[in-house]
Amino acid sequence: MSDSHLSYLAVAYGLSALALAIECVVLLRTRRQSIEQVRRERDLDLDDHESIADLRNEAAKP
Amino acid sequence: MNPFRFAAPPVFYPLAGRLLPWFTAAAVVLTVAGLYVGFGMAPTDFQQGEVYRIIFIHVPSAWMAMFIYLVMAGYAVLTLVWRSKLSAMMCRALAPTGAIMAAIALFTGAIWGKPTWGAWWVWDARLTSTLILLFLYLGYMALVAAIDDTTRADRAGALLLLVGVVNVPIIYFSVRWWNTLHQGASVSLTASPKMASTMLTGMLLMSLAAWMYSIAAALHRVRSIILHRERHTRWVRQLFA
Repeated sequence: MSDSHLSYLAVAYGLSALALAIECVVLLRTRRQSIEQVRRERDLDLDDHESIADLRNEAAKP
Repeated sequence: MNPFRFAAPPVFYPLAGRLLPWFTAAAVVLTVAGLYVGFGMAPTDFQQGEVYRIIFIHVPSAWMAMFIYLVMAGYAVLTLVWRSKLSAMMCRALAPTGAIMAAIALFTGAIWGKPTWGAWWVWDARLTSTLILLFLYLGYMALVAAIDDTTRADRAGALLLLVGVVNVPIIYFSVRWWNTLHQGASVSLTASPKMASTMLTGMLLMSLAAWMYSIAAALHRVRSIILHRERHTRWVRQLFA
């Protein structure tokens, strides 16, 4: 295999692997962010519900 | 069993999660096998020398770029006609992978073109129409990201996909319709292949690997999209309870 051809092949496959690796990293990061967002918003809602429940309990007190 | 029930995000989400490892594993195994056949077994081309081995990444990525666009156009029809939520999500999930495949096809083609044609790029019908395909992917992603209302964004994106689908047959038939520098099809359903069987085997293995990778990437991405869009629903909250 001549050196020049080898370098063309290395660049082609190297760049392709890099592009796919970047996509994989972005995929994993997006998934993690989605899960974090679900958890964060659920916790916020739970806090809200607890606050409302506290207020109701306070209001119900004689 | 009603197959349409899989169009419901609460049903599709766990199914995609179960399928994902299989497609990922298949992509890895097929890539290793394809590279082994392509680099270890396929003979040197008598005209192009070793640089022809770029086809093992160039051709599968070009096929996938066209095929993914067709699949997206199919989902676009489902989005517009049946207003299926999952179809719109699948369009969004497939677009980045399709764009990457088109980009890989273009730059590997350029790297092959330099030693073979003596030029990185020529405004040939096949190359130009593939570049338009990349712009269609990028345009679709920009369009759906620019509209805040998700439903409107999905419908506008679906329309763009349907308008752009005319480009796919142009890419495919460009080498027949016009006198192009790009070579004609080496593999066809109606004619025997014009290459050594090991070359063809390596290319088909890599094509299958690209299929498996694209499906795995789309399943992974659509799970994130489902989580994002359905995050206020009870079933998503129960997943992470």
